[in-house]
Amino acid sequence: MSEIDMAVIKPEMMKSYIWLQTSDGSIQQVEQEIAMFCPLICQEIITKGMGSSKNSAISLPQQVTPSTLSLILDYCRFHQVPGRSNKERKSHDEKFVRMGTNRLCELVSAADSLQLRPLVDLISRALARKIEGRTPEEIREIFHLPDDLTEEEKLEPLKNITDDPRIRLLNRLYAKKRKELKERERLKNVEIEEERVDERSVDDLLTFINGNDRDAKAVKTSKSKKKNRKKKDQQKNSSLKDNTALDKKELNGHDTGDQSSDGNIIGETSNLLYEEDGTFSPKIDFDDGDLDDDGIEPAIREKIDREVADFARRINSDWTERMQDFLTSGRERTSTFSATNGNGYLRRHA
Amino acid sequence: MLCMKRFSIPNKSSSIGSFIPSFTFSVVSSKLTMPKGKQRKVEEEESTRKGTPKIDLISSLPDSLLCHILSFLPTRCAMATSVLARRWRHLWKDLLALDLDNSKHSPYYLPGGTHRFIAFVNAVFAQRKALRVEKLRLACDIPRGEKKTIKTWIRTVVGPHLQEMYLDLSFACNEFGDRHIKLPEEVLTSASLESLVLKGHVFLTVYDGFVDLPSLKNLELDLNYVDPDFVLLGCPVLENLKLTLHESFPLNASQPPEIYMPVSLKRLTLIQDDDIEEDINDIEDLVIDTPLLEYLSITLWARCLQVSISNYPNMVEAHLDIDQDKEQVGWMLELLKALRQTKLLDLKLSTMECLLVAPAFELPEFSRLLNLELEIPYFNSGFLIKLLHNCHMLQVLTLHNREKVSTVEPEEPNCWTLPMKDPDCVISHLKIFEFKGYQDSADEHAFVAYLLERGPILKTMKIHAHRSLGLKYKHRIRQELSTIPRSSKTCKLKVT
Repeated sequence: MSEIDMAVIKPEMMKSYIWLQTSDGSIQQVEQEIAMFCPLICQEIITKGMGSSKNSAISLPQQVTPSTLSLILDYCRFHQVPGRSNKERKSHDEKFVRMGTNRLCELVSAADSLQLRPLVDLISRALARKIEGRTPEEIREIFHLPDDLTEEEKLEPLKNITDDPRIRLLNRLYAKKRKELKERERLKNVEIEEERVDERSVDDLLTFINGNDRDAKAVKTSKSKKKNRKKKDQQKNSSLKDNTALDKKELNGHDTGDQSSDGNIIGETSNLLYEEDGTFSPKIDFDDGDLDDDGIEPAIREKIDREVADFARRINSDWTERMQDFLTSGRERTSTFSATNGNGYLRRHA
Repeated sequence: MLCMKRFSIPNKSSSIGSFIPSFTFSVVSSKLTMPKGKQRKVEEEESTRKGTPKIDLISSLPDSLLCHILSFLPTRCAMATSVLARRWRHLWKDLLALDLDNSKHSPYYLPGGTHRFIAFVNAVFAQRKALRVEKLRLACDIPRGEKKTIKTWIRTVVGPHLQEMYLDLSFACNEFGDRHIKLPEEVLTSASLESLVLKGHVFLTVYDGFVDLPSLKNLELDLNYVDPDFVLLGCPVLENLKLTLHESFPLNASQPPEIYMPVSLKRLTLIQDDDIEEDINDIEDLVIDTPLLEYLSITLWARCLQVSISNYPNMVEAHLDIDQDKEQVGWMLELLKALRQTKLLDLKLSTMECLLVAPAFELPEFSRLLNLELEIPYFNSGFLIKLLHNCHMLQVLTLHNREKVSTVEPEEPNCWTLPMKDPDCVISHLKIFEFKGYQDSADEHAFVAYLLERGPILKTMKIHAHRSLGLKYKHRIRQELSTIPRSSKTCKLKVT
């Protein structure tokens, strides 16, 4: 037995040794008390009686290479000595983890396979320190991670905050309500002004709308879903009784209004996650992405469509009817007026 | 060396076979390891060499390990890792630890009102996939009307898997009315909780029954209103305790305040918050019957009418900053006796002042003391040397002379009948000596000289002169002290 030989040759080494086999097939001897610090090795020795000779060497998990094994044994050798103070242990650990990132990953993988919990925690903390406070690009650089997410997927965490369809419906309804109230207010102003002004403004509006249409279409080529929505709106447009400019304007304005108001609301809620100065804050773009209809169930979508149609009809109705409406809901309007003022919506479009 | 480094990456190549014999040979002969320093240098060299393949090793780690790494990050940061790569998109959702810190000094503080933070936390709870929470850390200001939300979060988290909870909740200023948030009862009767930290404006109450925390090992209470006994009685296996008493202690004026430390305690920190002006109530009964105690730190000036102290044979570190009236000093002396096995003793100014005016008392022998720190109200070399007689294993001595520079002649303390021993063995183990507030009186000079002449293994001596002394004076001190013959050849003297 080689162990007995060892005892004869070096009588001062009275410790017992354990044979370990690493991933590459090489076998080495290790002091038993140090190796026993690793729960997996401990288990193998006690329950299966392995490791007492070269032939019955404990074969370690695949993640344990000779170099990682030597580092792990260094760690065990230091910590299995009972008399060390907490300060000593801490300073040893701090020095121990000063190595390259890849080395740390190898080591944590090996320590995990050996079930050496304290070392796993130590290295995990060290790796966490490398992640904390850094931008995504820096982290990808440090760990050599592939940048394999599309731009849209990167923005997803933000969108998903308001993914709940009920919240989105609610936002949409609020936007419509606001739009409605704003229209009433504008109508009131329109009635007070001369008819001519209206005429001119219609021309302006037409050019504006046409120009806007073109722009809008250009912007939205990347998002086919938006195009569909636009088409749907235009279909509705044609189906309405009066194809007045005001009608068009309001529908278009409805669109942009929707964008901005939804944008406002969602902007508020999504900004919660990422603030402007944070190191880890992806840029937030508020296109109509949030208004994707596909996420909403058909029943709710129908309801929304009905609302939109209803809304359009109300605008198209006669002046007397409008005034009637306006007068009856006057009280309501004044109370919500101040509320809508607050979010700057009217400021942008008034 | 470089060849062996390449060898470490686990891919089977034909060259490995030829290296085995040389590797195992060197392993056996050189005590199993390559020198660590060399190994690391090699690693650094390789990473800075141009053309090194950029291996993404972290992605080879299993999900559980990556999640474990993320659990050490604040939750906002962990959530943000979802944009790193495809693999990382949903990793954070399996996190079992939540670190939600919105305190003002946190780097993740969300300015502009706590409402943003609340919405953020709601989003976290809504999006995560894991059904349980093992650790929760929550530190924030509670805005008006959001008490219920916060309580809901706590209730969501409490369960049979909760191991650690840290709550630091405070109300935004100018909140009138009910300035406390009642901790849900389930927290105080959790069978799985191992660590509980409560700070700020949390109010503890249990309606039926008592606090029952059978697994709690670590407890920290820093609350405005707390009856510590109420909690401590329910923690039978508590090992670490940090208790901060505020002005509103005790809570119930009719009941005499008693504090019974759990018998299993290993570390105790008792602090009395000192930013109050009014008198604090007396502590009726303080029982520190904890034979397993290893670490003790007490900052206290409330009168303790009755104190029970046991022996602390496992004591390692003790810091005392206690101020008591003459009538109550007795228990302090008893405490000092009980601490005679400690390795580190740190006595602050008020403690020393009390001890020096105490009636005659036999100082115990500190047979294991390695490190002694004293803040002395005045300097008396005779007394210090007598003290050194009782700690002949001492390796590090730090003195801080807090005496105001005056001409009043200090009196010899009337206490402390110390057994005289052979003066030569007094500082036989002293390695490091530090003197703060050195005023260069004849007495101080004599003491420093004594140490220099008699300390056989003295390595470092640092003298920090009192700030009233100018540079020239410091230079003179340095000259004078350098001329004293030193017993230890390796002694370094530093005067600042």
